[in-house]
Amino acid sequence: METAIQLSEVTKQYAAKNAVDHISFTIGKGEIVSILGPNGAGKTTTISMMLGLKNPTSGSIQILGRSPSERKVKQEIGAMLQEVSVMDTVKVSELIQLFRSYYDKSLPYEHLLKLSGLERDAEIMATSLSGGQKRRLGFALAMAGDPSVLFLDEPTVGMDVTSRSEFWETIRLLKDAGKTIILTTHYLEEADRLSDRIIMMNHGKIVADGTPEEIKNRLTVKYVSVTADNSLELGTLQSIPGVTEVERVGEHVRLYGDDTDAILIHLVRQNIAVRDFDIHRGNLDEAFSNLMKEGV
Amino acid sequence: MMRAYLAQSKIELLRTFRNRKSIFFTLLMPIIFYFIMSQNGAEKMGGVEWKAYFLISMTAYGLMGSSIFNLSLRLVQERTQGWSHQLKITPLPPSTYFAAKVSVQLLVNLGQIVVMFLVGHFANSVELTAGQWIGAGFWLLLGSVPFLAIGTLLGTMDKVETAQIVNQIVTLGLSFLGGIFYPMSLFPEWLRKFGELTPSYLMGNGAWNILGNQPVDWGGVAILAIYFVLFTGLASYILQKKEVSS
Repeated sequence: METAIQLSEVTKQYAAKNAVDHISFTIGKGEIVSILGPNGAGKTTTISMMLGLKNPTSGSIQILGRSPSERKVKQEIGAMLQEVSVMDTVKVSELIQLFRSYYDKSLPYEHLLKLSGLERDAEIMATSLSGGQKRRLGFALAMAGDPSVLFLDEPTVGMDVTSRSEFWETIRLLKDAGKTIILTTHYLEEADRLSDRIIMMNHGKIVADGTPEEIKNRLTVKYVSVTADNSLELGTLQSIPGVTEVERVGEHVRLYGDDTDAILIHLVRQNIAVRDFDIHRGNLDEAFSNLMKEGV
Repeated sequence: MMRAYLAQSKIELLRTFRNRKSIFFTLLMPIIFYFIMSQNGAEKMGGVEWKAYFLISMTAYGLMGSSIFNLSLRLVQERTQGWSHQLKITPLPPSTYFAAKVSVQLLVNLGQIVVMFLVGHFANSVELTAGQWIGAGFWLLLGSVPFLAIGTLLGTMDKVETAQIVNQIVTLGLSFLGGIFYPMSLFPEWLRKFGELTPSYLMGNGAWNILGNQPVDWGGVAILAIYFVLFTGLASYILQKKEVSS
């Protein structure tokens, strides 16, 4: 895969503290990557450095093989910042047209309106848009130059449920069109649904990097829970292949192990006297909170 | 980048016309002052009819106000509200953005001069030769350039509220000290020495000279040029410092 973004040993220091601490990663063209982490993990600082808004204290950043501050790079990237601010006394349509004029190649105006769902709001003043509509405008401005690399910093904050799923649909279309997309988000479901890859950050460091599946596997526990009479011997359960631990509280028993399917099949085949089967597989929320508990 | 420059200029011009506060303070207020204070005048100021003299004063007052007000407040707003971040991500060079702002403000200033002169001529029968009208207008336009630099300098402030207050203080202070509201000849001697060095006085004085058929004050031009270089240099120094610390 061709490289779109490369960070090596990037550090950003504020006062004596490293907001971003020696991080390195490579993002290929066409990838959708979510950067996840709690507040203050260094996500926004990392994005700001990739956009050339902040300079790293040390380390190097390359976007499409060039420094982020080069104009050639700026022609190829678009970004929706966390706080979308708009100029006063300017209409939505005028702002979009203005941004189109900045780029050598731009998406047609009508197409941008449609993409951002602002068709009906084009002639109103940008300052009177609601929070969610402002996010849409931010998205239209980010897309104005038909970017091949798109940065979205908390894109769906302030959107209602319908807008959010519409937005996700749009992102998927952009992915199909081969765009490279980097998003930060608080919504774990968003990261899980949209991205090919998740980079988890905490305290300025990368603590996990992989597909949503890999991260869930690594950071969550899986178990089969069953109900068993007290007469059932714990030893019977402990000897099942693949079971790493058994936990018993009254009638409720949890059989921990990576291959929950195999454990379930064994229980059924061996006709072990248990009932109310339930498989627990970790979700990203759990991975996230486990990660934060570890404290790293 | 011509396309971006033109589009940016169009937006800046639209914003100026849509800003009622700016139109009121920089165009209507000088006109109102002009009518109130030019009524009692058959007197002459250095051989110039008072109503013509004061037309120059009020035009200069409006130019100062709009150059400082429009530029500084927008610059502060755009920087503090994150708009300039949004722009920094685009390929628009900061110089193009700034050139559009400044050239639009010059165009607005030219418009203000034309409106004020038309009002003076048609509503208050100020009679000047074509050469005097054009000469005085051109001088005022040139004299407004250092105020663009002052507007840019005040545009480096961090809060809109502070910028607004400082704006008023600077505009009013320079107006009074520069003899825009009261002729400099009425000032006590010691104050006149300061007043004659203000950019507001120099802007007005060049035009008053043209009305009184006096020779061009080249010393004044030089001082205005120094102000321009000084304020522009200071503004870009402060902006660079802010850039580095972010």
